[in-house]
Amino acid sequence: MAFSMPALISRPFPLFASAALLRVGMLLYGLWQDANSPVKYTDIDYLVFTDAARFTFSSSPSASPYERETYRYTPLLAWLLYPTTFPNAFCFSLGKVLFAAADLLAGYLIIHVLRRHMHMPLDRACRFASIWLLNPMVATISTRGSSEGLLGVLVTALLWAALERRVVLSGVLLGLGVHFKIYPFIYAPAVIWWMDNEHMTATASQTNSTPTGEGKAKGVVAGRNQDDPSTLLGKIAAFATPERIQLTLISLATFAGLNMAMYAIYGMPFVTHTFLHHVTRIDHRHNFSPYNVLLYLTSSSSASSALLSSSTQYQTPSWATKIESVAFVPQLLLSTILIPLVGAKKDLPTTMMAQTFAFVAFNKVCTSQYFLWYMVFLPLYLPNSSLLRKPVLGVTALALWVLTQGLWLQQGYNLEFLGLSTFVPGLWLSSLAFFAVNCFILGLIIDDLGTPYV
Amino acid sequence: MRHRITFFHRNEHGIEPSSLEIRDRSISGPDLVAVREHRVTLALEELPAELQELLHEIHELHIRWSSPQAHDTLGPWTSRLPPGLHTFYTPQTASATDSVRLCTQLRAAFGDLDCLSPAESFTKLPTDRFSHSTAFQYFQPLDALTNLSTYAEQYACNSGDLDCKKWAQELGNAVSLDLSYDAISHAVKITAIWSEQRQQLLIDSYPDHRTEIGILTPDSPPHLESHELGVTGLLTVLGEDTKPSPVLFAFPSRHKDASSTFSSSFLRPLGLHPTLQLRINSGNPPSQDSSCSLHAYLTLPRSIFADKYQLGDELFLSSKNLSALRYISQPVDLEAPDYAMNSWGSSVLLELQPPSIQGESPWTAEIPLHLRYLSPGEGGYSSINVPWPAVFWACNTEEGTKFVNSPFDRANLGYDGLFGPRTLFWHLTPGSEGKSDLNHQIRVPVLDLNKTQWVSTGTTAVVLVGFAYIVFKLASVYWRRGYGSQKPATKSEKKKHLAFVLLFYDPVTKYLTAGQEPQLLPRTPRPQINESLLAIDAGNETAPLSCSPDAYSVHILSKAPLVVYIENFLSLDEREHLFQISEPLFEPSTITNDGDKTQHNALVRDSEVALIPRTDVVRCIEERARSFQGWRDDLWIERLRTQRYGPSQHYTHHFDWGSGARGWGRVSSFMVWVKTHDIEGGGTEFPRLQRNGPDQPWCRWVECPDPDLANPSNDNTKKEDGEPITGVTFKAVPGNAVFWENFRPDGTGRGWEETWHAGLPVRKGTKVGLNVWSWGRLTS
Repeated sequence: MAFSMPALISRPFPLFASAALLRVGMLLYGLWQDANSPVKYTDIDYLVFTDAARFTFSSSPSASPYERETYRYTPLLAWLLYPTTFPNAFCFSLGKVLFAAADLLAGYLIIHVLRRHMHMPLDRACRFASIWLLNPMVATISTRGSSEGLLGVLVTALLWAALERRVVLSGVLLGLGVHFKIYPFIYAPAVIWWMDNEHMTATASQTNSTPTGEGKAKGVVAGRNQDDPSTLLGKIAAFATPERIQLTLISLATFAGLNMAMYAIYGMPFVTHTFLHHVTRIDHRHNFSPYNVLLYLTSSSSASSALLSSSTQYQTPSWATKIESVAFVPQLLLSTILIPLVGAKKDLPTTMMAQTFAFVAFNKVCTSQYFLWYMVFLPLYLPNSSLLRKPVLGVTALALWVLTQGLWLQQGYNLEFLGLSTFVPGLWLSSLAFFAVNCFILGLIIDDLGTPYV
Repeated sequence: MRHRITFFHRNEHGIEPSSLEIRDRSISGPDLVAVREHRVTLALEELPAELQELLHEIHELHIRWSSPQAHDTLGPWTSRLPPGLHTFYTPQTASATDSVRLCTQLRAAFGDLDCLSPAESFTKLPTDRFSHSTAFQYFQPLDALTNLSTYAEQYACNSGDLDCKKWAQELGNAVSLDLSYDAISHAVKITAIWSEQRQQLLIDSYPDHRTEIGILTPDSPPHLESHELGVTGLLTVLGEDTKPSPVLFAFPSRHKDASSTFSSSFLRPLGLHPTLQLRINSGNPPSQDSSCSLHAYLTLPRSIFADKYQLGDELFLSSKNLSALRYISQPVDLEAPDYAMNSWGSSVLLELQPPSIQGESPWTAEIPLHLRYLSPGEGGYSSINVPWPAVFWACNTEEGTKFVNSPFDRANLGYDGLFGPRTLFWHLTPGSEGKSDLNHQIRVPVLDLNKTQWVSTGTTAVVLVGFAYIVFKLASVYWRRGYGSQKPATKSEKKKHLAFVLLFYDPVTKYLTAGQEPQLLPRTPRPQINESLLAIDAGNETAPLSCSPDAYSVHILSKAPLVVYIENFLSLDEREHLFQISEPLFEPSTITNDGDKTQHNALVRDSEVALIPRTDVVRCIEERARSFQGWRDDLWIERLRTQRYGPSQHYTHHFDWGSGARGWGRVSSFMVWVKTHDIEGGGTEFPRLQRNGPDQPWCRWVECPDPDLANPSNDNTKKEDGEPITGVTFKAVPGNAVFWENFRPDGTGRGWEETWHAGLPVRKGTKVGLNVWSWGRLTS
């Protein structure tokens, strides 16, 4: 073998070439499988996107992506997929090419952040970036046509822009990300909290300072508008730096501007499907969320009591029916307040990883696509992680994560394909076990926030 | 009212025309093996007022019921439907769909239907394609017409009319029932069919009813077209004819028997995505000279549905021996659980793909379906009914063919509106050996209600524990490294944040315990107490004390809680005396956490304490403290203690209230300053106490911001460690004291959170303080 594996992934060109080849290979294989097998390689969502794009660019007067049932995304996505509406099998796959390219761009940004802001030599940065670039799960998801890759690149770009102190760009990316998929709003407090004088004035050329960690040069804060930090007003004034205000306003303007534009074009269906759907959805088909079985129980009991069909009445504690409305409290408290507050100034990438992890673990709906949301931060978190420093711990965490997911999947298989009623205890307990493991891992990530780099 | 009764028998079951006896308004004859149809036509005016009113809102209404019992068809009644109750409906005005009247009436007639109102429970039909389709459709599996038969007996028959009652009862055995109304003809046509059986031929009629009797059998008149049906037989109009008139005629028929069969079953295991398999015994179209395609028409209750997107891929369809999805009700929610929907379900028309080499060999087609989540139920499984589909060949007939004016015409079946007007339907007979029920009863896994008692509590507990664990992890990171990028939080920062957390903790606990009103404490007898710690005078020790008159002055700092600043509580002599008797006795302080055990922890409290002897001077101070608290019973002064704080010694924030016996405790505290030497720091801080007015003249005794901001080097707006001043911090002024009550006076035994206080670290010098605690009843 001409190249050993480490050599292959330690240099950018071979790394990106193999990442691209991997995706091209999977894309071609997907085309073959779609053409020859009743079981499709292409994700059902991709058909939703491309249908939506066709509807959007159809000549009918009511042309809108929301003509397509279950299209719950921004019209931007349908616009991006305009080329897929050309009557040509190759053009139909251009969306997947776009998603795969987004993967590569995210990988590029990861290497950039690792080198410039975490001061890692290129070869090591490439090796860590390969966790994302050569990850078969990531490549599969984007070549099957799921749009999560776009989110990956948006979020990495947001991190990169923030670390580069490109405030305007960060604001635009943040607003765009939230417009695209809502959840990136959790990064707003982290980025804003991180943007203190210390982080915003250290120049990028200061090689001894890492904006993400230790060793910042003190004293560069001089020359700033020094409000008296002792009074509350003074504190607020000191907190409200021009950069923070700028970021807030630009991201809000981007978000609001996009929404207004989309509302102007597509009207209420845009609001209903892109945003309100996520608030009112009641499809609680089994998923990894710890709340899943409880939501099934409470949603059905509220539905049956609404219909007053006395034959199906049964009791759930009255407080349990409120769970649905308070479930977001621990989730948002952790992911938007506590984790950013404690971590953002110490290590922005790891904080964003922890926020995403908490958001996904505590979410009311959790499918494996959501895992991609935090996977994009793995190459940035792992270099200073106790999971790598203590291999036993790392392997244990990974094994537990896989094992409890496996347990759940087995219960899910028994339900979905064998028709066994495994909701309780099987599915319920395994989702709680998976949740517990997630908390354990999140605890490790947070511990690492408190451990100075070695 | 017109009444038409038609018997249709096979050729071999024919009867002699001469054996029929027609007398007056009745006909009788030998027993007959035949299929029987009754058709009653009623004018709107002949109906009960209630029904008339309902029908006035309706433009078109067609109810079709088909029995789930497998049965052969004969003659003109060959059309097939999935078993169950089908309703096709067009309202007069769009707003009528919101009315519950139709559903109420349907429920009254057919029993427990899951029908709220047409707007909620019906699905829309495509009206743009062919004009002969109604606007709405409703379907529900319904095994028998027993409810209708009772309903008819009660509401349609006069009490003495036994014939009518018999007819109504027989409805319970019918295999098919049609009810049609349209606003143009203003007539209701009710058609019921009974399957082939041996039956008595004896019919009476009423004078004012036209009753027509037909006894027919298939025949082939010359020039019979393929879309026509030929019959021969005898017709009699009761009351008019004296003998049956023989007839031979042909009429166009939309529906014919394809003389092949199919059966339907679900592949095992079912899972949540069951596959319906249709086994068809022949792939040959019924007619070689016209284009025919084989279709399956499904009416799926809402618990099960087909995904039109899945059925959009040709390769996939072809692998299941399907050609195309021709029609599916719109919209079909692909995600909602059953219990969140009102719509009855969906109808689906699929074109099947027979083997390319035609032949008589059986073949199968598979229809992938999906189950919704159903309401949780006892035992973990719920059973649902899925009717067999209707399977038929749809063949085009020649240009110009018309299917009008047929005496046995049957339209509005749901699928016929999806085809062109010249389509001829050749029906496959459903059934397989030993199976007569044309419903699939399938078992759907649901959440088992017998096992859910721990789900709410368990989920909440696990999520809360997980959340608490993460918060704990975050807190420990914060404790080690603060929130900043490198330096850990200063002690005072932590303290303040802890106070902040406690401040939030309180409303949270209040929210959680909302609804629990604070309980008034019962009046309990004095518990056993360690009297050696109280300043109780023994009986023989009541020698009168000669105390000097009180010389203090009081200043109320706060009324709720009561906090009083006392100037000159101790005289100079008393202070000297206290200092001297304490000096040899100081030992490291203890703190009490549970009332019994005492422990020492320098992190919390770092000072020296002396339990001082009760000299006369001390007893005078006790007496002063006792009488200061006024007119109350059950109050004792605890033995006095002096405290000495050296450099960096302190007592962290705490409450004085001791959790002793229920209803009893440490009701109030005095902090008295005895002596200071070259003191810096060492104030007594109440971080939650409000500063209620201008600082002056309190600044003599409490820490205040320095108004002189022009001089930042002398920054008095901050405490020693640079924190802004909140709450109240008393300076250590020898001789003065601060008094506060620990418990709310409302008798609930709740303490005042505002009394949370600390002895701040002494930075320089020493401080000697005196604690005077009073113990007694909380509820006084």
